[in-house]
Amino acid sequence: MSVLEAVGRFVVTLLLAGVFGLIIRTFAQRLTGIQESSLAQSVYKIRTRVGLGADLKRDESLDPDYGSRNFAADLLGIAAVVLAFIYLIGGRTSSFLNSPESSKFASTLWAVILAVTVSAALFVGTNILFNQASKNYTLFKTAIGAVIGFVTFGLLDGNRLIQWVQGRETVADALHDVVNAGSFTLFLFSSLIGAGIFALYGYSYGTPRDEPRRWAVIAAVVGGLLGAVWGLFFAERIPVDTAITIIWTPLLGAILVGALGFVLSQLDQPIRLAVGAAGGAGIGVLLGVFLFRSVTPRMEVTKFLIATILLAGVGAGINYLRNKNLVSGALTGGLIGWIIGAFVLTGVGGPRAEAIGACLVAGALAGARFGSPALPNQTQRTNIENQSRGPIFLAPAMFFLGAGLVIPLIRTVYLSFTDQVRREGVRGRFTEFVGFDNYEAIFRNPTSFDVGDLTDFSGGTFPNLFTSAPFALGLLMVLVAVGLAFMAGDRSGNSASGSRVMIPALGVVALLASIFQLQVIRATGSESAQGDLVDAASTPVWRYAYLIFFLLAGVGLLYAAFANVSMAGGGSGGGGGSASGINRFNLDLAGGHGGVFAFGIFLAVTAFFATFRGTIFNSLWWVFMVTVVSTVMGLGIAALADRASMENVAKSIIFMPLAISFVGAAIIWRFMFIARPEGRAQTGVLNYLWLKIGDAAMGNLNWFWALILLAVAGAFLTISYAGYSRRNSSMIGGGIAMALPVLWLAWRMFDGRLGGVGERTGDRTLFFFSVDLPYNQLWLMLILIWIQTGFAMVIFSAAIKAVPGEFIEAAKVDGATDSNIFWRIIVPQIIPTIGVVTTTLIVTVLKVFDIVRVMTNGNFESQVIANEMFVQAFQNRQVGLGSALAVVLFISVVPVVFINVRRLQHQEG
Amino acid sequence: MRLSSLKSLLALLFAFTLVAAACSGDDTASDDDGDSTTTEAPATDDGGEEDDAMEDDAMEDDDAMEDDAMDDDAMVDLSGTTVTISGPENSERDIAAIQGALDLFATENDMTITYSGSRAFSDDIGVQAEAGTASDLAIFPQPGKVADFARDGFLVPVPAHTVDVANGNWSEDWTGFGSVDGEVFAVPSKADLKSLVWYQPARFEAAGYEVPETWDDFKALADVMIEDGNTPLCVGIESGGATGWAFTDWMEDLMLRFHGVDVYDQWVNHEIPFNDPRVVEVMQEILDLWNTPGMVFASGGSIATTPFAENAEPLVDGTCFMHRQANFFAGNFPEGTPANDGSEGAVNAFYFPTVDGSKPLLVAGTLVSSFRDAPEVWAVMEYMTSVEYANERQAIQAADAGGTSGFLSAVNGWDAGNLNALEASFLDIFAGAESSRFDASDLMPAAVGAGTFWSEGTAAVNGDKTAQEAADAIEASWPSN
Repeated sequence: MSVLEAVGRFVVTLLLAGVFGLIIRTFAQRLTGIQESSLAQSVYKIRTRVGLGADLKRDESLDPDYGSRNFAADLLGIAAVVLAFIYLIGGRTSSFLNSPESSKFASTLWAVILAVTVSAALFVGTNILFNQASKNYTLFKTAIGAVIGFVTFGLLDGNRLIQWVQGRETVADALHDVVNAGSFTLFLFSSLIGAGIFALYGYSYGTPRDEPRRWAVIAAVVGGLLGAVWGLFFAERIPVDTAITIIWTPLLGAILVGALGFVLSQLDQPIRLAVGAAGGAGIGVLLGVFLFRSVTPRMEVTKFLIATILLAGVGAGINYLRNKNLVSGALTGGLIGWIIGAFVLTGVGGPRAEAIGACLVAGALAGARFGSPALPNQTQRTNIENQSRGPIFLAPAMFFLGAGLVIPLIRTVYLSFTDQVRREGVRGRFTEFVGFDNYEAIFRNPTSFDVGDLTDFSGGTFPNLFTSAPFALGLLMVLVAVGLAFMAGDRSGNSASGSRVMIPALGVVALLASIFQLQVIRATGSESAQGDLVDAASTPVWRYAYLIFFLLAGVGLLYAAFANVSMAGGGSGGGGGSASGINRFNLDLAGGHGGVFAFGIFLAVTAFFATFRGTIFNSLWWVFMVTVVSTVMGLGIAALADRASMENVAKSIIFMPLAISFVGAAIIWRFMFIARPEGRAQTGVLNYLWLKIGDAAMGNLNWFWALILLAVAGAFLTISYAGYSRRNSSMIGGGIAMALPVLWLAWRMFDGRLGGVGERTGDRTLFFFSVDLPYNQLWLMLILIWIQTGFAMVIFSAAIKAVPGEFIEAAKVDGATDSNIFWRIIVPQIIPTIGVVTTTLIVTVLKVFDIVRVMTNGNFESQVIANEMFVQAFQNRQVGLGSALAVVLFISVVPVVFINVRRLQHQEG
Repeated sequence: MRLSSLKSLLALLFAFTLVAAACSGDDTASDDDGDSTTTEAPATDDGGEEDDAMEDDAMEDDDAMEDDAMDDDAMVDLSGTTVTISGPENSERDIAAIQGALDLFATENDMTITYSGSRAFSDDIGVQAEAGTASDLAIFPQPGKVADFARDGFLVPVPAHTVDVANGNWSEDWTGFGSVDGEVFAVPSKADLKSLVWYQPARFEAAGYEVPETWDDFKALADVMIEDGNTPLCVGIESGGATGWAFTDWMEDLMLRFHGVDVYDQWVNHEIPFNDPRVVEVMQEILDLWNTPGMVFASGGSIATTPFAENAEPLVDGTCFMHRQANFFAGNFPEGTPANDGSEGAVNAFYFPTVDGSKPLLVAGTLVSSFRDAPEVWAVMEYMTSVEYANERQAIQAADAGGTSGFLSAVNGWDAGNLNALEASFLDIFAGAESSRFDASDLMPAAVGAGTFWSEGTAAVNGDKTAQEAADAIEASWPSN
């Protein structure tokens, strides 16, 4: 790189950076309407010095409505776009900083700069354009026409511009070529054109006081210089005629159509319509002549006519519904139909005459559409301007949504109905329509719904489910909760449906379980083992114990439900029209037994998912487990931390995992879960602790640790006893629930069978968190819970703080306990927030991919829908099946999103 | 505010041109359609079409030099060209050696060749092929995948001249792996020997063990080791997204030995179902062996969580006595581990024992195939099949490893001075094989060979499924088309 080139690059880079800053400032000014005094002042000074606008008062030049400030800013903005354009063509994306080390950084930087510049220029430009609708209708119409002409001519020109851009290397290359070859023609030509354009530009800015002609001269000089630079860059790089087609054809289109717009805005009906159609046709002919061979249509009259008439009808229909002019609707529709018929439905490469014909008709239709409405009055023009604001703002968002979401969605749905097949003797893949085969395949695939053997009573699915520890424990907790509620006779609270529906349902399930258990005993006799989830269940005594337990649970629950319903029925009969009836008892979360009940259900559902496996069941398990646990924990932490000391520190720490990516979190936890063979140093934290506990259990001091655990259990039981004397069922239930596992730990500790010490052999076993079925998935879910709890907590924390303090104080005055305040005041107040958090979590969890991918990649029966989709679509290249999975995922998310949106709307309403 | 429409017009004009220009990415070069207008062809400045044609001619006329890729390529002007290569070999050592060997050729011809190795190669290449952004050359470890891509129309058939060069360099067996429906789409570049069991001769000697000749001997030896309080085997099948492939290698070796090459071929081609009793029997045999108490050491705690490479250290320190793994396992030993030189602590490998006296060989390797039809691409492909490439890569890799390179090639006539005793013995095993078969999972359709065979095998090894259940699931997943 020569010194000159380096200096040149440096200067251009600086210029671009400065201009980029200015355009952003301008953009901000436009949006806010706040004048930037220093800029305006400097413009004022420059103008004074060059003898222009010397007659202006200083404060006039500061007037935000005055042209000077806008002129300078806009000029700079446009200069930025021009420079960026030159840069893009001449230097590609990385040449200004094109040392190998910086090229990636540079190209990223320039891509960002370009994207922002283009967006800003488009936004500012469009706003300026539509400003003219009410201010100067002639200019508005002219400019709109010019834009349409530019785009149409540019597009139909066959993208030669893009083709030409391919293969250019650097600005330096271009300069080199120019200096060597020196094509003066193009140089002159572009100088003149540039001067003309900018003269017009300058003239248009001149206020009456400002002597437009002088501005025009100055601008012409500037434009000429810019044009010269333009010519300098591109002369000899491309032959003159190519140069004309790649950039001047669109410009020609802009000028022609712009002129037509200008003329139309000066005329009135009916001559307006005629001139519009004729002018359009003329421009169409020209376009047809210019048309690149690769896009000339082949005339297929039927298609032309069908598309034109069909869409003309549609256009008229739409305008009929909108109470607008039928003719203009029909013209618009007809135009679109004609273009589709000519350039989309037909082949290309037709004769020139047909191209001219096609363009002629299209141009005439467009011109007629342009000319058909009467000139709008001032009110209508203001309307045009006002109505344009929304679309201008929304257009980029709609564009990105359309390009990034809607189109891929439609394509995915389409692909999900196809399969890519090979044909005998031909290379390549052929897309074949297969209807719902892919969906059928998903639901038929045994790995989607692995229900196991439902009829095998000696070790199949149902024995596994009913004898699993979570199920039995869950049922026990439900039973305890119902018993406590029954005894307490607590009629307050608000969870009546839990009492009315779930209790009898669980009673039926328990009875069913007892029937299955009977089958199990009959099938297995006394010797063979079953129930691989709980070792104890394999001994005959335990099997009969389960049978009796299930029977008692079923009868007990059904009795409780019956007693409750009959009470309710009697209540409503005697009470005379109370809609809700009176229950004998209610499962109320505030009363404590409701919590025990809910936890019992939670365990039973866990047992269900641990037994019924497969991709779809797995995904549902994820949704259930992560959503419930994250929400409950987030709510609990938010409530407990509220107004506690160090609240912010604690919440920050819990919130922190949210900042970690799923992949990162999975890798971190992989290290936590890792196992090394027994006898070697454990590098995984959890296995290390696990084996340390085992050491304690097998060591000489195990009785000591067991005693400590016993003491802890004793403390919990004391709480329970205190609850008994106070008739507080939540204390009774909670105390027992906490004491039981601690007692179990104490027993195992004393027995020397804790922490990986084998049940019978005394061998040490390691914990293979992500491998050992069926609970390996819980360890994967733990990662997501770890991340999402912080999210739930932050939202809940904000919601809790928004609960009016008067409510809580009033409750305190009435003697409510903390628990009552939480359940009866805070929770009802933040129900909408709970809804938002839950739905957000459900959507997040349904899409979980990274964690499974990193931890197990779907092995060990931990496959979920999103990872299965990736495997099918990209590894097995079964695009149809993968798309079908994506659609299933999408459809399962939609209702949740829909409910969320509805809820938000209700809230706003 | 007095604003001009022309101002707006200009802003929009430039903005639109910008958009139009910005939409043209580097990779979307649309070819000139040959229209009579004078649009310049979007070729790069240095590569004219005439040059290409000249190169083609030169290559076809140059039969006399056919066997020597280097000299041949020296005849055509490749200067200034660029060839990109992607492949699955992604360890630092592999990448350095491949790039080094390629750079030799690149420097000689004043061209640029870049190799990028990725763990996720097999996932990426499919996506890239569909998107048209695949590298010029791709190194496939699976002939099945080459066939998939060839039949899908992504790969360019290898021109006759390059095929001739490859046939001159490698035996017909090897070049046959790259042929699809009678047309050659890939040429071999690297060979792997899979029927090997790694051990330490000194440790065997000290304990009085002898290298087993037959499968029964092997199992008997393992039992003796367990009785002696030693752990016979190290096994690990974890390999990220490819977890399970090490298990499939065991399956394949024993399929060859239990049922012979004909049944093996039928199995590969799905002429017998995957849950055929003979297949299930072999799977059961392995599971029984591995599940024998005291048989297996796995440094990850369980077989399914142990990467095969992590078992190199336990083999060296004597935690386990044998490890069945391909020749490239040598690359995982601690640096400086001596190989087959009779010294204390040296590692060696013996031929995976036979069952009925026949000596089949399970091999694998990498095949180079092309996504772009250009003389420089074919020149590089020819170089990659050549003995020069093998020698260069071996030299770099061996120097880096400080001993056994982990690289192996079955190319004709490579420089024995580059090989240590262990590597020389591999070549002897190649030479002594009665029949060789390519790794079955690499030949099966991707949904099985790189999908359910791995995952269901892992489930069976982990005890989540029985051999029969796993085989049934694999059979169910065999694609119908």
